[in-house]
Formats: sequence, C-alpha cells, structure tokens
Amino acid sequence: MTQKCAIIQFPGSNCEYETAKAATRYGFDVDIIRWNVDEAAFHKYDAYILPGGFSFQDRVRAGVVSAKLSVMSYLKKASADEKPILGICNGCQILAESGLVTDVSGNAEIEIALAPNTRNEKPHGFMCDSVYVKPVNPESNVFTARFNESDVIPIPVNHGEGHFVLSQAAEAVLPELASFRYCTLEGDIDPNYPTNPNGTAFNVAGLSNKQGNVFAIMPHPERAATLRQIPVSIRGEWSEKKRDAFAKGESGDGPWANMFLAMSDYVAKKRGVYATR
Amino acid sequence: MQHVKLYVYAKNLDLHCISAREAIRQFLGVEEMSQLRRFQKWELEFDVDTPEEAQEQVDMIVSKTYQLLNQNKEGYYVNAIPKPSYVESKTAVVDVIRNIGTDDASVAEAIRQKTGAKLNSAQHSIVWEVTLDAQTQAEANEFIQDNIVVTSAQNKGVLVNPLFESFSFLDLETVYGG
Repeated sequence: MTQKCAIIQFPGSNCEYETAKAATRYGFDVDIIRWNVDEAAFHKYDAYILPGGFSFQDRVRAGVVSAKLSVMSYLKKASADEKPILGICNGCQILAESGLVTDVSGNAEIEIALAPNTRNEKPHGFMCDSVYVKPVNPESNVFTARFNESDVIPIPVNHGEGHFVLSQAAEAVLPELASFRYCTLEGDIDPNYPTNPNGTAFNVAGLSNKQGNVFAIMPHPERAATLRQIPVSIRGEWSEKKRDAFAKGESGDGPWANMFLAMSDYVAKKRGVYATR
Repeated sequence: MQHVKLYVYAKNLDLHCISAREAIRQFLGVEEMSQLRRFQKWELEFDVDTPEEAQEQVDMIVSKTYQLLNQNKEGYYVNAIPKPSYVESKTAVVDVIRNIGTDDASVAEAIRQKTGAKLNSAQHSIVWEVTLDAQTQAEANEFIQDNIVVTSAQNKGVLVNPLFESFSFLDLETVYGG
C-alpha cells in the first residue's frame, strides 16, 4: 500500500516543491495541501511535512501567525496519533510557536523559540551557507533513526531566525532528546562562529519532541537529499562521493536521504503494527 | 540631558498589525478585541538642554537618515500618541522589548556618524495598543496578557514570545500625554 505524505503549503511557503521531490524519491505518494484544508481530508495522510519559506511574510514573528491556524490543531491530533511530522526551516519555526516541539509537558506549551540570528551576541542577520551537523540520540526520533552518532553531515542553511532558545523544561530534557548539533568537519561541537552559525543554544540545529514522532530542523535536509545537490566545494566525504559518482556517470542518494527513508521505515512499521491489531 | 519617546507608525497599511489582528480575532477567536494598533518606539537620550532642542534633533535625524523611520512610508509622534476615540472600551498599551538579536548602541552610533546628532543612546521596542470590550481596566489587562500578549500555547497569545521577549504595560496617561 502506498505511503501518503502531505506537505502543508502555508501562505508564503517556498520550499514545498523540492520537499515533495525528496519525499517522492524516498517512497512517498506526496500531496501538497493548503493551510485551509478541511479536517477530514487532512487526516488521510500517514506523514506530514511543514516546508520552508516565509509564511505570512514572517509578520509579528517568524511562524507565529501560521501556528494559530486551524490546521495546526489538526496537526496536534496527528501528533497524538503518533504520525511523523517534520518541520523544516519556517516549518521548524511554526512547530516551535505551536508547542509541538518539544512538548515536554504533553500539553503543547511553548517550550522553545527561534530568535534572530546572533554572532557574539550581536545581530547577525539572514544567513545562507553550508554547515555541518551531527546527530545526538538519533535512536530517539522517527526522523533520525537511520543516523549514527559518529556521522558528520553537510547541510545547507538559510534563515534569519534560527537561534534556538530553550525553556528550562526543554533544557532539562535536552540530553534525552534526539537532536542535530552544529559541529566542525571533525565532529566537534564548538559554540563559536562559524561552527555555530547563528548563536543557537547548545549548537542545536534540529530538535525532537519528547514523544519522538515530531522533528523541527532549521537547516534544509531536502536540499541535500541527493548527491546532485551537494556542492563539490565543501570539505568531507560527501563531496568526494559526488565526484566519484559523477565520474562514473552516476548520481545517488545524498546524506539526508536517511531522514526521508527513516520516515518511510516508521510508517511501514506503524502500518504493520496496525495490521496485527 | 533630554529624553524623547518617538512613536513611529505606518502611514498606510501596517501588515504586521493586520496579521496580528487576524490571528487574534479569526484564528484564536478573541472577538472581544475591537482595535489593535502598532508603533515602533524609540527612547532617545540627547545631550541638549531644552525640549525644543531635542525636537530639533529628532527632526534633523529623521530628515537625514532612515535609521529610526522612513518618512516616505512612516510618520511619527513625539512623546505621546493621540488618544483613540473608542467609547465603552478598555485600552491597554503593551511595550515589547526583544532580548536577543538587537544592537541599539550600533544604531545610535550610526546616527551620530551620519548626522552629527547629540544622541547619547537609543532603545527600540514595539508598542501594541490593544482595545477590548471589558468592564474594568484590571479585567482588560488580565485578559489581554493571558489571551493576546503572552504566547504560552498554540491557542494562547500572539504578541510576545516570553522565551526571548519581555513586555510591560505602559501608563496610559503618559502614553496619551495626559
């Protein structure tokens, strides 16, 4: 049976098509649905992705207006049903403003925020770069389950508000949650710029909810899902893999294929569980 | 030393305000809120002796730079904003300061460099004027804080994220100039 994934298009989303392409490549039948979809139509999907962009032009604060839409209450129900939900960039900001990540309280209270980028505690403005991240506790979330703690993974990053701020409740459980942390090519978590590109707390680039089925990530995994998307100019094994593959006239899966494949694994397993009931 | 409060407003559409109003009234269902206005507030300290000199400094800065406002699309009030004529409603004015990612000292320095103004310091904040159908001011303030201002959950609050912003209620007589 086909695995169905919905990518929620908010007014101002701009990464929905490349996200759809990545999810399609790794096994999903994808629909791009609108923010004003009716609830019955919304709940027919196995997985949901909130794509990047500038929903409502980032008015008031990035993600806050979208977080108040009815579709986010549908998404809360989907989360309670243990469906996988991924928020990328602006989608990450929306999940933060809606309380779906980290949801330590279980009541979707606001426990994390995405503040404006800083460098040495001064404003740093919008950034567009290629950075490295490493997983922490990857086994604790649907989307990180295929990664290893020894991985150092290149990823593009584009945002003006990517500085994670954690509440005391979120900070207390951070060691237990799955996360990606900005790191050097050698895997060192250096809190200083440029390893930490935006001043984010604990070098957090992406973070799980406590239950492990929702993940909010500021960099763009959909832009590094195939080898073709990896810049040859970056250091590390992935540009080498790209060169080798292209020399043979081949392409192949990029470093973030594992995020979409892990989502597919989870949906398949969940369906298996349901089939035995 | 003279202190000036500059309230900057959009001459035409304030899209932040429109979206905030939409989110509060339509998405959160807080229909008790009848009006919402937004100003950017600058608290300026000038090394001059009289209010008239301070006013001259302000006029000079806004005519020479866009650091405080862009006169093509924004206007400003000095020290007080006009009192709204809404009747049988309660109004609260909330001052929101962002605690991360601001550098007002650099703004002040840029103004001094560009204009030669006798500006000692500048502090930026966002001021929201919220008008509500309520019986008492205390009731209005409590409702506004819990349901409109502080973003504590998906269905609560829009204007402030308490994890990196702080706020205070401003004294109405001061804001409206008595």
